[in-house]
Amino acid sequence: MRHMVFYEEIDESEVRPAGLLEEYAALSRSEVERLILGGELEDVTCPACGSHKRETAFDRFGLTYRQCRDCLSLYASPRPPESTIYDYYRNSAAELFWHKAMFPATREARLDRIASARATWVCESARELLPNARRFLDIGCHQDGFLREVARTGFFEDIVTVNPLVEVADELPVSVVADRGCVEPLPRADVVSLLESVDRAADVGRLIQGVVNALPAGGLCFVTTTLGSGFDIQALWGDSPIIFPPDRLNLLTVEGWEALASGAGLEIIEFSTPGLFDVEIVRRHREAVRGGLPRFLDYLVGGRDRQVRGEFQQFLQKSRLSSHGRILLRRR
Amino acid sequence: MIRRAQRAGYRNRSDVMMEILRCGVVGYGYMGEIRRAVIERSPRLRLVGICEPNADTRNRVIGCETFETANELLATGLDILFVCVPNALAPDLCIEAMRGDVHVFCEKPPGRTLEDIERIRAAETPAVKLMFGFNHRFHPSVQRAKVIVDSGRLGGIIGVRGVYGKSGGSGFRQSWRNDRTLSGGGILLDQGIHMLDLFRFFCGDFERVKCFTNDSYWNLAVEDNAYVILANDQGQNAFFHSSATLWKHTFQVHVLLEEGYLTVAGLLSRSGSYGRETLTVGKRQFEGETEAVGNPAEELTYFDRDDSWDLEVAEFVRCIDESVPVCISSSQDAWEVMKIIDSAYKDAGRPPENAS
Repeated sequence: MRHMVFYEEIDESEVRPAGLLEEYAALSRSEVERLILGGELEDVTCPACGSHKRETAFDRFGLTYRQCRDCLSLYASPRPPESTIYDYYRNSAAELFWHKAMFPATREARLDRIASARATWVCESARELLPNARRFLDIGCHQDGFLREVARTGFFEDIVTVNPLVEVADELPVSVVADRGCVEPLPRADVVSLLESVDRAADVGRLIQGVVNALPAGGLCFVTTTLGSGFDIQALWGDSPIIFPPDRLNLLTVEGWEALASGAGLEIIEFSTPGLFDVEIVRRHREAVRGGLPRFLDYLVGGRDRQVRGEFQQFLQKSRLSSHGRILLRRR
Repeated sequence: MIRRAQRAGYRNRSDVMMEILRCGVVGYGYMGEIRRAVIERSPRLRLVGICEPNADTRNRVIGCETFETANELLATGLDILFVCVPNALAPDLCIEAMRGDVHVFCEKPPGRTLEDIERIRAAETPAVKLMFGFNHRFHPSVQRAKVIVDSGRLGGIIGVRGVYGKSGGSGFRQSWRNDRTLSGGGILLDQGIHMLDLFRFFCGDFERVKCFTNDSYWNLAVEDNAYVILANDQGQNAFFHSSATLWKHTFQVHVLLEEGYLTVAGLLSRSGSYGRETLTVGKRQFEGETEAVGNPAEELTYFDRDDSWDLEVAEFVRCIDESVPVCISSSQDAWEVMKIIDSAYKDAGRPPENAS
């Protein structure tokens, strides 16, 4: 297994402007109440390891998050079924706000820092590990910039997206096989990407099994995800500002991902946590709330300078302890 | 001859894919053990036997048939012979096997001298595949670096530099590697050849060679240290230090590119003594001259699994299956790198011993 550490200083506000993020959170809260809470909700077991053993962790926007006692993953249960989540992403004001306000305001930074970097990761890894790959399948990515960047590399002959989330522009050089979130069976592909898609999947096991069925032996699956084992989530728990349902119904831990991959017949080629913002998120929470952190964390994020915080963030990356995960899986 | 007839009879790839290739290993030292493990892991290969002339070593081989001489092993009807013997013995074994229509996978270096590899190449025919164990090309950090270089996203290569060294250690003086009649050279030929192979992997050939050596610490018949400077007709330069007096085992390759740089450091190995294998990727950032900090953002990837041994043999098997020429770690690669080493030794005032 390999993992990557990223030495760069980025101001979180470049990709998550505070005012816009708060507005998005407020819209998400009201839209979850309007579109999700009144409908059917289903109790589920741990989406990573399937364990029934769990503890109640906290509530967010009216949904209850549980922590698996076996793999320590966090997940919302009971939760909306897939059809409700699909309708949410097609109709919610929060999603509209993301595309009409948040994304345009951060477009340049997101394309440069996120979309382009992810496309490079996908294409260079595929060129290294599966040089004859021809067909790329994206499932539910949140922004078309990524697909545009993948297309621009020219590595894949055919790019397909299964996606209810983006309004795919006519000029985007990809095929849209369906605009629904779940197409079964998924189209066959050599390489699949799940960019934050697992986080919002109603049925993680079904999604992963669909991907496994779509891939040939040796096929690759690229995942980005928010990890429940990450520093800011562990430190802030129910106060974490980045846990939004339904965007983040599932916050698997490193151990949860290992169990999920193993159970699905997937080999983990890379497991990195190249997050840059964990410490900054905790620091901003400390400033806003003024207290509530354990003594050492309070001192670390509030009493030490930017250099120490940066080095601690790098330690989190090296130790796979950041909440931003990127994972490369290969079908056995 | 029977094996040749069988191979000639194959009409399509699927026939070939069905065949399990019968393998023998000659020489059961460090590399022989590694090759045995690779053979036993591969679903396409079957270990027929191991030849080891040293009785004590031979007696500790368990789980397969053993032979005292290579002729006995070759007489079993092999498809592939893995040659894992001291440099002076490798050429004749390669030649003998290829004359018997047996594919050959030979450890580096390909003999002691340029003349040795030329003799081996003279015995090579299109019917047999010959590959050399330039294993470092298949290490994950190097593979990834090559993908990045070939993608062009960091521009063309300006130059490369490297350090590869070890500390010798107990028993170093007694090692056959330091017996010039057996090895043909010192640390440059033993370890430095990997670095030169990587330089060629990234840049292609180098036409001009300068070298300094010294042997002042170990006082053996071969060099302790070699400092090699290279230039090619593409305007690229390269420099490396190959050492048997690096008390901290070190492996580093720096690739300087127009738009950034790559650093391969550490090497996954059985002992782990070269440290964790990493690849650093940096992208050039130009600031104003007065505020230039020269400290761009970097990506550092840690590699924790070494598939290099299996990958290189899988590539060799692919060439056999598909009946295509070996083009990675080929005899051409071996010859080109031995030309550089020959020039380096001559430049340093250490002409090679007569191979005959």
